[in-house]
Amino acid sequence: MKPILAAESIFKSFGRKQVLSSAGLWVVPGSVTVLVGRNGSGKSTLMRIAAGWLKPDSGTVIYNGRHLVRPSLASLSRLGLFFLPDRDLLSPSIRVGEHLGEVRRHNPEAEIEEAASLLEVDGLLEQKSKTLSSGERRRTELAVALARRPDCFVADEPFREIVPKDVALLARVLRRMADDGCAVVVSGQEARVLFEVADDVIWNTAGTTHHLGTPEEAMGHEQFHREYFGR
Amino acid sequence: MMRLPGWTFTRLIIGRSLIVWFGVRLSMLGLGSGLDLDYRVSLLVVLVAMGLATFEGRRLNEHLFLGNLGVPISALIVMAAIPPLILEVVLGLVGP
Repeated sequence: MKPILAAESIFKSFGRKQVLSSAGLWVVPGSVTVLVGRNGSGKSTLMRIAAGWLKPDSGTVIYNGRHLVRPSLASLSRLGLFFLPDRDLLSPSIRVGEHLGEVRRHNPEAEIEEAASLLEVDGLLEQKSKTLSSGERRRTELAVALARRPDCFVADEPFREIVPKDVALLARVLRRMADDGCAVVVSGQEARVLFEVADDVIWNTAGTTHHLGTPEEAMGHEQFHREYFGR
Repeated sequence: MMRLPGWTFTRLIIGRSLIVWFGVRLSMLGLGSGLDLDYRVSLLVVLVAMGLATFEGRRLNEHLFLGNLGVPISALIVMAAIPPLILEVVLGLVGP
């Protein structure tokens, strides 16, 4: 199956620091691609570029077969992409219910109630997002993404700073999204948790990427195992 | 057709832009430059109010959230510019 989203030959530097060189990322519908790498390896930069939130110095983003030279998040979103950044997505002074209402305004077919119930945020609708704990905020953000019903979901470090119970819930929802046909890309450092939901693994190291294959193949990759797990 | 945010976010963007405009004009009065209604000053006030309001919207994740719903940043910048623009025109028409 052809990838719905592909970022190819991406180069990006900040000042004199080269963050990405010839990095790539791709995901096919109905699967979960995991991007693993240490802090500072360029995961977030690559995810932002793939989602149109950051412009690359060079390289191409391809969405549904369309080569996009300088895509924006809004233009990719209109094609069916949703981007969950590693920092907050919700506006602090706006209530959870109002965020979900905004999703419905732009997508009348959005399944708000189902998403809120599945992510256990239906009791938080009247709360402003600045009052939420980090786990509640992450669940709400995923509820927003789920309600939007994207064709491609790009989630940057969704498991960071949340308790294991929420990690398990988020992992189940990500898997369900993929099983429903969505192309899911997730980045993070928690390789063992990520590998439980992954179909395909990409390793981001020293500013570039290596395709490792299935989680089993990744675990058997000697260099990855040595450099990532340290043994 | 360009997508625009709903009332909840529109109210926030316009309200913030108005507050920044008042802040800029009050600062100018405080600094003793008076109610300068020269068109170049008015244009500068509009640009400063729009820039600060846009920066704050980005800081508060509104651009990311609305971008995910297909609303382009350019639409949010234009929305932040409209209130100070209207107020500067009104000041120019009724001011001293």
